[in-house]
Amino acid sequence: MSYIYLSPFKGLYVKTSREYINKLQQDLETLARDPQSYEAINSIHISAHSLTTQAAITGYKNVERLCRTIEKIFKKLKEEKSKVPLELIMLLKDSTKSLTDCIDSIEKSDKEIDLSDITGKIEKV
Amino acid sequence: MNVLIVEDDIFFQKFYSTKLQEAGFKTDVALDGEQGIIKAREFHPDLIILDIIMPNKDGFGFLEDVAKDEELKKIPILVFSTLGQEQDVQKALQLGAIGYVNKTFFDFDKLKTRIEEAINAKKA
Repeated sequence: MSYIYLSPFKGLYVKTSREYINKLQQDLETLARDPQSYEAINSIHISAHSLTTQAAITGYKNVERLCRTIEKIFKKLKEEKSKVPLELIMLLKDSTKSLTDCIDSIEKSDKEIDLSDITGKIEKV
Repeated sequence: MNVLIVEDDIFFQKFYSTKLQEAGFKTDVALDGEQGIIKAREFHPDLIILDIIMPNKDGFGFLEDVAKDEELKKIPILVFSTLGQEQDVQKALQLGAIGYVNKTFFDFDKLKTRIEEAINAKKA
């Protein structure tokens, strides 16, 4: 699957990715007030899942890896009905900034930025 | 042939609708399982492609509702699968889906063949 093949959909990819990142940011604000909010946890899981699958089909591996990490964590939190640790909430807020920068870079130059640092930190939580 | 795409992600709705329409299919979309049931009754699809993770009613809830409806349960349903969702796909197959489509590894010829085989199997 080549990026070029999907280029007619690039504008849509950038637009919908930004919408999901905005949603993540809103849900993180909810979690900061209520770390056990099932609605916010579920919503983050869905947003992360969507960002992951969109990145996978468009070939943006860094975005895919970061969002897949978030997706897996939130799937588990959802199933276990657990409280989200504050450390994770803070890291995810950083990750949304990184994702925003990455999508901006993709829009401008079709290139991702390096997300390995933030991804590694979230993986360790 | 009519295909209903039950999928909350606008990107995938647009992508799959466009590709199927280019190949001559008629498509409609639903944003979640609840809307999917309504659209299935209105649109009378020959086949449904169903996402699993969706807000409001997810893919499992949709399949459970379809199984209770005498008309809807005749419609073949393929589920979208992605990496890490193997257990979800198995559950969907147990709930009545007839197969799955890898959402992120797009091979249109394969998708078209799966859809046509599923619809022809239903007609047989």
